[in-house]
Order: sequence, then structure tokens, then C-alpha cells
Amino acid sequence: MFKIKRFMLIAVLIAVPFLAVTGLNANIEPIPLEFDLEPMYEAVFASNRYTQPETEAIVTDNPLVNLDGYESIAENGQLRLYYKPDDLSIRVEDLQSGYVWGSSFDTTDERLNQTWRARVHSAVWITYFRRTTIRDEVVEEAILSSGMSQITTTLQQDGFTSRIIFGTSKIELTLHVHLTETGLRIFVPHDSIVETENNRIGNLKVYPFLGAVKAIDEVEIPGYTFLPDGAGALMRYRPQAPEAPTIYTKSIYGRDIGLYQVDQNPAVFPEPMIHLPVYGIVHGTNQNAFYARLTEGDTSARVVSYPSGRTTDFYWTFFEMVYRIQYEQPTSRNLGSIVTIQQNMTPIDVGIEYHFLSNQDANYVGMANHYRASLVEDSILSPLPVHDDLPIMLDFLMTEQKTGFLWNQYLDMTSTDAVMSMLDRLHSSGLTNIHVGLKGWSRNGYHGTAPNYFGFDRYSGKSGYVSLFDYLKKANIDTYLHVDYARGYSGAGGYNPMTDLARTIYGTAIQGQVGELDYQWLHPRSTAKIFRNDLSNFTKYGITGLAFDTLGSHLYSTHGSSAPYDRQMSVNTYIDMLSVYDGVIAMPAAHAYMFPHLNSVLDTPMYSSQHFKFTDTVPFLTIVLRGSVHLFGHYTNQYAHFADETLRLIDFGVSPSFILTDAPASTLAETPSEIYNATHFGSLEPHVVAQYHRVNDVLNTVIGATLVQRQVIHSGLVRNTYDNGIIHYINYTANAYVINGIDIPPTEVVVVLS
Amino acid sequence: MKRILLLTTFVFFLVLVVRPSPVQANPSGVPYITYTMGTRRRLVPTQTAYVPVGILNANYPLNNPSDITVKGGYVVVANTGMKNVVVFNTNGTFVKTIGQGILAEPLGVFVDEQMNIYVADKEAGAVFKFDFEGTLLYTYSRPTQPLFGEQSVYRPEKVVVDRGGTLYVTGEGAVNGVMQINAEGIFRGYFAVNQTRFDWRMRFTDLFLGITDQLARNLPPAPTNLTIDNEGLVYTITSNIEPGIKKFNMLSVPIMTAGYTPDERLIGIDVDQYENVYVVDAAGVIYQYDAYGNLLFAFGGSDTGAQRLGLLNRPSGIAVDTIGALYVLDRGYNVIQIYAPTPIVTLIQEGNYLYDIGDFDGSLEVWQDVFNMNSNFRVANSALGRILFRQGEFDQSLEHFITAQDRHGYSETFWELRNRWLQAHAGTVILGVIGVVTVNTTLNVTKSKPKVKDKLRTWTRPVRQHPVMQELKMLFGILKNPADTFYQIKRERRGTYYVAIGLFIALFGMVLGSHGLTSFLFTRVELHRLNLLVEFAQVIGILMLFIVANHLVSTLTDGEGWFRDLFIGTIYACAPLILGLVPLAILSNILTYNEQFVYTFIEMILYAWTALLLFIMIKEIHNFKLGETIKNIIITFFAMMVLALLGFVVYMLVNQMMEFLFSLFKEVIIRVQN
Repeated sequence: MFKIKRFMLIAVLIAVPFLAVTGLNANIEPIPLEFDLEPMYEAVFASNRYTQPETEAIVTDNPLVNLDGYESIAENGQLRLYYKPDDLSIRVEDLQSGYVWGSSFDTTDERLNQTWRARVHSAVWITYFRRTTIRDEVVEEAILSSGMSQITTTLQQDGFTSRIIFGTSKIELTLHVHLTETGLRIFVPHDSIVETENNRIGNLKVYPFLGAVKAIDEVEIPGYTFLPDGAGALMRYRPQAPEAPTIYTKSIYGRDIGLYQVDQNPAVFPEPMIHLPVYGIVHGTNQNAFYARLTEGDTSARVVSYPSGRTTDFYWTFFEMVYRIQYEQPTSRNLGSIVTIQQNMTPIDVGIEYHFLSNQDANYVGMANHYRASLVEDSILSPLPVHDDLPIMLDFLMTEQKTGFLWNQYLDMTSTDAVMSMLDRLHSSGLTNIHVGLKGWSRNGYHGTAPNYFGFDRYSGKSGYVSLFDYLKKANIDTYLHVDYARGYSGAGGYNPMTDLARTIYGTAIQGQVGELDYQWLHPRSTAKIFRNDLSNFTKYGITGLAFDTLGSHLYSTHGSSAPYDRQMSVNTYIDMLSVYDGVIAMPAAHAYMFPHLNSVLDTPMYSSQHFKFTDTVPFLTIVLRGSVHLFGHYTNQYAHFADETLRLIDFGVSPSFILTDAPASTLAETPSEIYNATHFGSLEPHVVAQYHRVNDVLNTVIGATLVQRQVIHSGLVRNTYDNGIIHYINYTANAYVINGIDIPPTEVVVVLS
Repeated sequence: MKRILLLTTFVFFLVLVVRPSPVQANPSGVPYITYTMGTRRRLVPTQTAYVPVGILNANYPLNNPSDITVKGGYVVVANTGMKNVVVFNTNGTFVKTIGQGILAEPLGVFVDEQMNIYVADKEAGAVFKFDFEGTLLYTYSRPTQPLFGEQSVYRPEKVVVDRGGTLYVTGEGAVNGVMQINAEGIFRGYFAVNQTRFDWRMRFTDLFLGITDQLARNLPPAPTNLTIDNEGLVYTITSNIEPGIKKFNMLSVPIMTAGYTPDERLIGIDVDQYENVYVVDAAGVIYQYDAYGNLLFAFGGSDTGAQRLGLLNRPSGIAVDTIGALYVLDRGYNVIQIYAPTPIVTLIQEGNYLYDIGDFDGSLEVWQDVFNMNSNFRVANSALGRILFRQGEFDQSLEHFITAQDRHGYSETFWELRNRWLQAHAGTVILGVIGVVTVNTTLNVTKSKPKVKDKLRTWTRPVRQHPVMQELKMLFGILKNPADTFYQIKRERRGTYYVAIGLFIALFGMVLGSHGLTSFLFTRVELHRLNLLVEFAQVIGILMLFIVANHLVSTLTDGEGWFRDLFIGTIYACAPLILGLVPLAILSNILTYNEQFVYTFIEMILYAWTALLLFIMIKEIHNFKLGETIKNIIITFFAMMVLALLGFVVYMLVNQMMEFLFSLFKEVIIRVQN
């Protein structure tokens, strides 16, 4: 047994770099991937690590809602909007299919108590802090909670505007509900919110029960909730589990480290984040669906999803807007603290757009395509120029710092000459669309340098880099120099620890550690200032691309003595800062606010958080970004299950990447880069070439094409259909399948050119 | 004393404690970081070794399950909350429950080769034996043999059974180890007993606080869980002892101990057919060891509410099936999570297997593949070193041993290399020695040598006659004639503060130098991990404390010495260390473990000599008699302890004070702001 496996592994490591298509059916192209034939453990394909097959249940109407007592107030050709004046609940009728969506339930549900019934029927539901002599109490109030709320509604041609005064808290706000050309838009401007002396607003939910589904012993409407967790996740509706599942709640763009203390367990990876401000609900796959998109307020919002069995018998999902938080202010260095609330309300407008989809668009692929189209329309995304071959990202680790006893050591990992000779060799092996990333190009090595980048590394020097940049420019290779202007390492210089640091709401600096190196997060204003100072150097040396290691994936507010700087202000600062730079930009796992400036996404999220209640992981993020941004996966050198992870690259449409050094990886022991287990180009070269051709030979058939259907035929067998007519069958499993007369061997991909 | 001082410095530098590097990018989508034993015995991140596959009992709720075992395609769980045992297929289908109505608190479960199910029941005070259909075959109640003891409690918690039908039972009160009970229920004695610890700290507290409960304290901790391999050998885990994971032979002698014991409470253990050992701890981390006890992988983590696949809330057991999948029981979420190995795990097993059957070429290739996946993998480097050593590739072998920090392997390889060098160069060396001697003699005969010598003397005269050099001569003088030299220091006022301070710095430098230069065979100190201040406190701080304490004590006990004499005398007494440490360190580089005695002997001499010189110094400087000197030294040590304690107390008080002021200030600010 061992012998066979070993041969397979050797085959993987030194796979033949060419794949000829000969003597086969003219339009079917099985791609021999030459993997280690050891597939994943069979049962894993049924887990939420993969996408599951669809059920074919038919949904005729929505049993929770009807139109009795609702006034029709607007219509846009696709949708008709109804509302009820006393609680502002709405009904949206899809004119094409006749399906009705509702924000509340018309059935009298015997398992809902009075409080919950009020919440379900109310359009708006807030959480506020009531000041008492001891502390600020957290109170929830929906429009119908007290029976004393005042609503003044103005009807317009396309919807209505209501002024709401809550009965108990007396907090006031204005709700705008309008049909747009393609969907429904909700808007709550922040300057319409009026607080009282003792009641301060905390959170806001608008139409949280829109699209809710009841499930006790059986599911009333089959379908799923799409959550933008990591790559994307589905929570299919299932009968209630015997044990109450947890609520899914996650901040869009990650937790704000300026507001919350995040203790990272060293045994656990940081959880995948929400990169896109969307969620979706499907009632009957390929029948009825909508997705909601936050157009305003995304920097201070959470996606919350309640599974059935958790407080109610419903699956319901919504955006929760956070204006203000309660927190424990430490008063001593060990344990003492007092509970207090954030002084100023975060000034965010709430803008939610609902887009309703039907038939073949009513699924996560349809949502992703529709969302992408709207981003293109808003000029947030634009199509990439089409290249014949797939790109590959090669990151070179040039130098790295190693902490020493008296002074630090600088490891010479790769010289600029070595980079050029490696690129020459790879180019001659048929890698024609290389993108290059340089890590540790500045004087003090990769880690521990930020934000102080100039001059160049002490081994290759300025002249080495100038000739390398020249070479890369002539070869027309997109090059990204890795920089990190959001962090300041202790002792790195280039920033002023008194004025340039970000502060938490507790007033402390936000610190972190990489290996044994300490760093602090910088104030976004300082980030922009330091970056602008370096701009002239980028021009001077002909640096045409930058990879910002943290800017796109770490968003925080900053507080302290000066006026608070919320996350939207941070975003605006970063956007302004990047708009003056005219080179290409790459970022790892970037959030949506960076999309207008991105050329490449590194470390593209390929998985979800795999919460127990999730049933599937889906490539939502990659479908949205494909064709507009180069997507690069995690370093192939780090792969644990090579075959499986490569198949996922192909399935998700993501290009491979590697990290390479000229010196052996063992040199990196006891540096922060020791996490790169194997980087030595001498050993990896055939592997790089083979991996590139393996992925390129499949994916170059669909460059510039759009994925229109993604179907899971069996657990672990995926069929991707593209709009240029090409079909990819991706078989993750150990089983051979025959689908429509096409043989699909285990752990391989078959391309059908119809 | 040193400990207290160390503690003090530790409090100061607590912030500098090293934490593992957090990895941001998550290539395999698993929630946990996988660590392996890296070089220098640190846990370093590596490729994902196990992938969470899902939940086995997705359709069947468990209630506070306590133990799990896998046999013959079935997963058997002690479902404590429901007072029964649940049987699943390995694909997750519920098969049946057994023992309903018989079991009261089933905590442990085991399935033997004939598929009989044994259940350890704590509440019922018995081990029940069922056949696979669920018929009760036998009840192992409390043993009645006198050997078991009148007072002994019998509350079984975990059980395993060997092929002969002998039961190994752990339980509450089984403080003597694992109870061994034969198939007929006759108590055979205690098995797998842990060693009693001799704890200096405990003795010390006893001495001062007079806690009399000595007996209870000195009982060895009992194993908390156990497993058995195909050969019938028992493995146990015991929390809070080092090593906590052991394998025993039939005679209850430990024959394998795990090279790394987790700090957390150990929960469950299982062993696969290749004798790889799997352990889960209370923090939800799963450890895989190879048959030799090397830590291969550590992965997993605790889940405190998020409910993510792969993380554990309150793990209560672990089992491994024949294809290497792990089943981990979680009594917090009432689930059985499954983990499947990735190819790197299979490769390592294969490498070990080929090595064990003697296929070194095959094994070499496999380990080379593992090395290509992670070149800092300790086990891979060690294995490559061993194989290359066998093949006579000593140079390469040595490199791998250095990376792996495999000291014994390095020592053996270095011996071979040194031997080869000596054989190749023996002639040259002997010729060289003869040559030098001949030249020397010739020079002497032709009387040209004095000329050379004279010339040398003339050249170096200004240096040699410099007062500092004159003073430094005492370093050598003290070695030959300590009493005289101390007399010179005291009576002739030889020696200055400047030079003495210089020598203190030199001593510190020599200590650092010896750390840096000693072959890694003889030291575990890693130069770049040293904290300069801690090191300084340990070397110079203690000497200073000694000088101050001795001065204080001696002024009260009629010592004649002045502070100056003590200060200068002490550093000159350290002459053996100043002169010897670095040469010893250099020498260590050509030694192997075969000549270890040479190193330890010289090292001992250096320290003993220094101690002796210090003794003579006190005697001479203070003009004490022998008895007085001894008394003086004992009191000095006591004074040092008191001084250190005093320093510690002052430090704590100041710290508390600062803390109080800080809180006060902060709270006022916050209250005012609100």
C-alpha cells in the first residue's frame, strides 16, 4: 500500500509539465491532473466544508404571509410594494412569479409570545441604553412594543417615508422605503435620529423577519440562507435540532479592534471574516430568492442569523446596525473596571437594497452574478483585460530579520539576481503570465520593518533592485512590493509612538505580536501621512505595484483623547490615500470597500467558518470577483491536502501562488517566517511548473467567462457551467462517475467544450 | 535565594515571555493551527495534519457522553446522561443502545476482540460485561481479596481488557494506580503506578508551615485514563506529571514515555495499529505521537460558544479507527467530531514503518518528501540524520541532526567525523609535533632562541609593565598562591576598583562567551533567547549581593576586611572561571558524549576551585579561623536571603502603590468624562 502511495506522491512532486490532448472525443477534455490518488475521507464531502446537492422541492406560495389589510402603494414593473400603516410592515410581490415576500407573519403563531409578536410585526426594532443612577440598562423596543409609538407617514409615488417616535424611549427616527428600478431600498439617515437625555440608541434592525421561514418538525419552505462568511456559506433549512443552536452574528469587515478586545487563542486561526455586506434568502432553489446589500452603514453593521429553535421557530436573518456599544472600561491594570457606554453615536446612515430573483437566478450563483453586475454598474468593479493564460503569483522572500542576543541578524534569503534567473527558468517552462510579489525588500527584512521601508535590503542593494525593476518592466510582469502602512513595529522607526498610534475606546494602544516582534496599529491618518511621504520614492525607483498586507483586511476605529475616528472615516482615509497612487495594488483577503482600487486579491478566502449550523461552503466571493480582480489562492507550498486544495482552486476559479526563496527554508527557523515550511526554489521548481499547468489547462478555457450554474451532482462531484458553453466536472472524491456518458475519473477535472 | 532573585527578575520581565507566532493566513480552511515539534524543541506551525470531517451523531442526540471506543466498524459511546451505551456505525447510523436499566453512571467503555462490551460504572461500583447483543454476561464487582484492601474504594471510571481477559480499571480512589483484575474477577494488584515526586518546594513549605498531611501529599497521582494496543500493552495518561503519557510492558515497567507533555489536564488516549498514540487535553487540543513518543502534531482548540466544526468545547474521549480517522467525543456540545488525516500523516507513518522493517532506502525517500513539505520538521530531520548516518553520509547526517537538535545523533555522527579526520591527519599531527619540538631544540642549541625571546620581551615591555597588567598578574598568582595574593590585596593595598570592575565585566563576558561557544551537546542555553538583564542579575547581581551581605555580616562579627578588600578579593577569587570558562567552551567543540566526563570534570573543577578561593578569601581578608569562616559564610547566605526578600517586598509595595494611584486617577477621569 505504501509503495503505491509513495509513487503517487513522487508523481505529484515531479509531475510532467505538459498535458497533451490526444485521441479523445473532440469536445471532451479530461485533464490528467496526476495527483496523489489519496482523496479526502469520504464522509467529509457531506460536511459543510463542501457544497451539498440541491433538493428539488417546489415552493408554490409563502404560507406565512398574505395581502389582507395591506395597501398597494408602488410598482416598478417587476415588484409591487404593499404596506400596513399602523406597524409599517410591508409585502413585496414579485410580479413575474406572483410570489409574495413579507416582513411580518399573517398567521397567528401560538408559540410566539406578546413581546415577540410585537417585534415580528414592527418595521423597526431598536436597542437603547437607559441611563439609571447605577448603570446604563439595555432595553429593546419595537414600534408595537408599547402601543404608544407615533408614526407619521407620507406616501410617495415609489414608496413611503415615516417619522417614528418610539413610545417608551421617545427616540425618533425617519424610515424611507422605496422601490427602485430593480429592487427595494430602505434608508434611515443618521441625522434623523433624535435621542433623549437618558435614552441613547444602541442598535437598529429594519424588517428583520423579511423572508423568515418556519421550521419545527418539518420545514415549511425548503431553501437556505446565504451568509457571506469567508468564501460564502449556506444554512439550509432543517427541522429543529434537539439542542438549541447558537445565533450567527458577525461584524461585517471583521471585529473592530478599536472597540472590542480580541484575545487570539494561539491554537486557533482568526475566524474567516465577512468581506461583503450582503446576505441572501432562498425560498425554493431556482424559484424565489432575494439578497440584501448594505449600501450605506456597512462599516458599523453585523449580519445576524437566527436558526430555528433559537428563541423562535423561525430562520430569520438581518443586518444589525450598531450605533453605540456598551463596554467595560478598565480602571486598573488587573481586574477593576466600570461598565459604561460609548459617548458619541457612530454617525452611520442605513441604506439597504433588496434585490428579488426568481427561477434560474434564485440561488447563490444568481445572487453573486447579480451583485457583481450591480458593483460593475456602480463602477466599483471593472472587467480585467483578458489574457490567454491564467496568472500565477510568485512571492519572493528577499530578506528576513532574526532576533539576536545583542543585535539582529538579517538573513539573505533571495538576491535580486536570483529572482531574475528563477523567472527566466520559469518563463522558459511556459509560465507566461507571472505576477511577482517581493517580501522583505527593504533594509530590515520582511517582519519588523513596517512602516519604515526605505532603503533596499542590505544584500542586493539599491542597484540590485533598480535592475530587477527594470527587468520586470521589460518582461511586462506585474510586480507588487509588500508593504504594511497600518502597523508600526517597535523599534522600526518611521512613526511617532506618541502621536501616530491608534487608540482603543479604553484609551490604550492596540498592540499585537508576530513571533517575538511587537507592533502597534497606527492611526489611519498617520498611515496615510507616512504612505504619502514614501510616494516620491516609489516614483523614483519605478515601483509600479504594492501589496498592502493589512490595509484591506483590518478595519478599526480609533478613539483616545482626540475626536473618535470611526471605521467609515478610516475607509475614507485609506481610499483617499490609495487614489493618489497610480500603480497596481494587491491585498490579502480584502474587504469590499477596497474593491475599486484592487488589481489582485491574495490569500483569497476559500472556506467558511464551518459553524455547526452551516450546511455548505460556497464560492460566492470568488464568483463576485472573478473577471474583475486577479484572484490568487494561499501558497501552494503550504497545502496539506494537495489534490483536494488544487481541485478547490479550479472549482472556485482561483489562480495558484507560491512563496519562494533561493536559500533553504530551514534558514528561516526561529524567525516569524518559519511558518513557511518549504520555500526552496531548487526543490520546488518542477512543482511550481506542474501546478501552474495543471490549473491553467482547465481554467484558461473560461477566462473572461461567467459562471452561470454550479451544480453539485453528488457529494464531492461539482458541475460548473460557464456562459461560453464550457462545462467543468470537478470530482473531489475517490469514486469514478459516468455523467451523461462522460467518464469522470476520481480526483480529476473533465472539461466539456460544447 | 537564587530562586527568589530569579523570581524577582521574572516579575520584571514577564512581558517578554515568548508566545508562538500566530499565523494569519489559513490555507486549509480548518479552524485550528497545526503545530509540530520544530527545531530547538519548540512547537512550530506546520501543514494541516487532520481535517474535521463532520459530526458522527448528527441525527442522534447524546447526553453528557464520557467515553468512546471504535472497533470493527462500530463506534461505541458511554452515554452517561442517559445511563446507557450507544452503538453507531462508523458512517454515523444509529445501531442500538445497550445496558438500559442496568447502568447507573457509565463512564468508561471498551470493546474486546470478540466484540464484548465492557462498561465501567462508577455509581454502580462495577464493571459490566455485555455481549454485542446487549446481554449482560458478567458483573465485576468490588474485589474481595485481602490484597485489594479493606478500606479501598471501588468506583470504576475507565476500563480496558487484554486478550487474556484481564481488566485494567481506573477509578476514583484507585490512588495506587490501575487495578488489574483477571477474567474471573480476582484482583491481581496495581499496575502502571506513577513515581512519587520528591518536591523540594513542598518540603520547604512543610518545614515552615508544619503541614502534617505528609502521607496524602506523597501519594503518586493516579492515571486518569488508559488504552491498550494490539500487543496487549497498556498506555496511561496522568495529568500534572512529567512525563504524563506512558506505555507499560507486562511487568508494569514504563517502556515508552511521550517526549512532550501538554500543560493542560489530559482527558483521553488511544493508540492505532502502528502504535501511534493520540491524546486529547482539556483545552481541546489533540496530540499525535509516533511509536517512539515523538510529538508529531498538535492541533485543535477550545470552542467557547461559536460551535465551529473542528473545535471542542469539553472533550471527554478520543478513539482512532483502522484507517486513521479520529473520533473525538465532546460532552459540552454532545457530539462526536471526526477528523481525517492528510497525506503528511500517512507519509510519516510510512517513513517510520519502512525504517522499522529495515528498508532504509525506501524510508529515506519518504522522509525526504516530508522534509520537502516542511524542512524544519524535527522528526523528519532526526530520521534523515539516522538513515544518512547508517549510510555513512556523515556530513549530511550531521546537518539534519543539528536542525533536529538531536544531541545523541549529533554526538555519534561527530565521533565518526572526528575519527575520520584523526585517521586522515594522524600522520600530519604527529609530524607537526615532532617538527615543533625539533625546531625548539635547535633554537635552544644554536642559542638563537634567547635572542628571539629578548626581542619579544623588549617589544612587549611597555605593555607588561603597565600597572594594570601588573595587577592582572594577580589572577595567575591567586591560582598558585591564594593566601599570599589575598594578603597582598589586604595588606599591600594591591588592586584597584577600576580593574576589579573591569574584571566583573570580564567575568560576565566570559559567561556569555561560554554560552555562545559551548558545543550544543553540552548546553541547552540558546544565546539569542537569553535576556541580558536576567543573565546579568544571575552572574553579577548575586556576586554583588554576596559582597554586600558579607560586608554587613562581617562588620558585626569582627571581620577585619574592608569593603574594598572584599570587592576586589571576590572577583579575583573568580579567577578560575574568568580564565577557564571560555577555553572549556572551545574544548567542548571537539568532544562527544563519549568524553562527557572530561567536560563535566573540568567544569566541576572550575566551580569547586572558585568556591574554595572564595572560602580562602573570606578567611584571609577577615583574618578568621576555620570555624569562624564557616559560621560567617552561613550567616552571609542567610543575610543574602533576607536582603532579596526585602527587595522583593519593597518592589511589591511600590507596585501596589502605583497600581492604586493609577486606578484612582483613571476612575476619576472616567467618572468626570461621564
